[in-house]
Amino acid sequence: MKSRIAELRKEKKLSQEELANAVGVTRQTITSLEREKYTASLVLAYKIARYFHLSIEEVFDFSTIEEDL
Amino acid sequence: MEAFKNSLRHRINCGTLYCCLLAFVFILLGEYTLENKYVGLLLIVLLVSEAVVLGRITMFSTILKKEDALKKRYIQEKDERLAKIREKSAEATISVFIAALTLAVLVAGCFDRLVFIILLGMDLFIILLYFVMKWYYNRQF
Repeated sequence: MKSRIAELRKEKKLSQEELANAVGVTRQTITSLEREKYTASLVLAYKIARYFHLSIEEVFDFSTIEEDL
Repeated sequence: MEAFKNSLRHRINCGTLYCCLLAFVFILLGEYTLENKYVGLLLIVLLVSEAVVLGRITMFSTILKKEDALKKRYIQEKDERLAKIREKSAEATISVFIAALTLAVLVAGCFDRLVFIILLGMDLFIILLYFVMKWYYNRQF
């Protein structure tokens, strides 16, 4: 699933490690999310969105799911 | 985090109990080592497993003393991506294991009746266990 995690992280000048520690996952999970190899669970998606003070829809791209509906 | 600390303490206690039991078995079997090479091989396996468990007890004890290490370990164990990797690996392994065991049953059937019966029993047990687990988790979720 596409997301703006990398973009938002760079805006805030955060490393992957710092973001990972903040939301309680490993750095490799953040890497996989940014490379679109892994889809976050609802809880993790919420934690990441909350960290950036945004809604889940503003961080993650649900357009492919919208097309399926 | 407190629940996780308790979980680590529980693992340390279980590991310690395991090592004590193993030491007892080691003492019991020790005198038979020279007479029976298979017992000697079993003792080597038990020694290696004891070393692994002692290593883990030491690791968990160290982790409990340092807050950073505790947080790092907590994240590693609770990380959802790693949990998914473990789940997928276990799924694939059990499928291959059942297939390999079934093949072993067929091959053993050509050579030895006792081995065939034992392997068949194991195979049926694993398959039954899989369906029981599936039923259990179906009710859980």
